[in-house]
Amino acid sequence: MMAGLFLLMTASIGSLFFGRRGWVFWLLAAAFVLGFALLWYHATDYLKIIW
Amino acid sequence: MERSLNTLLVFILSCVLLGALWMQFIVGEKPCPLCYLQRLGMMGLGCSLLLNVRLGIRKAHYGMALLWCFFGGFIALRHIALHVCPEFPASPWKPVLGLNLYTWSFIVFSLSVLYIGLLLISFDKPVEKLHLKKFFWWEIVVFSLLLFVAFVNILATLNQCGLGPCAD
Repeated sequence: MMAGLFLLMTASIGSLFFGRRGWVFWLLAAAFVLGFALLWYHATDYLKIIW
Repeated sequence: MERSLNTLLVFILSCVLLGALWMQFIVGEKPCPLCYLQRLGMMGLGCSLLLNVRLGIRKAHYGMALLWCFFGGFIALRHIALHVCPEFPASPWKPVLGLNLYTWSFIVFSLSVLYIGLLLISFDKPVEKLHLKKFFWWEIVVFSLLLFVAFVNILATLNQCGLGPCAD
């Protein structure tokens, strides 16, 4: 899952090289949303440790 | 000038990310999921600023950069808060210059917000038309550094976490 996020980021940076602004935006947006989703997943795990 | 200043910040971020890779592979300190997410935030910030370099300066690109600063800064702040909590185990990583890496990460994101704010104020000019700009050699170096770091992190996370979620 984490590797998938970095794959999105790498694809975004690669799209930038070819000047694909739309691709860059959407890939970054996907990484942004999925990053927060993964943070929420891990946050609920940390809550179990504390509580 | 503004384009060069954008490239400079991306270069600094790439150096920070290379430092993180150094800590991981040379010093041997494995990152946690929050550490990986902070790295993602720095890459997102760098990519957003490279949009300015590649296609032209636009407010939307700065806006994206600020959103990634929020992303990374929020995660860094959460990371700090977790280790401040008395029931949470102490940080297993060695501090660098007296501060933990997640604290440095928060400082980097905060300073990036300041930097972008100063750029927006200093270079207040009409919106330029978007067009593909030719990279100078130093911009290719910075772009390649960021791409290299992003790619290495794919391999590092696959090695450490596999295809599933990373262990805490």
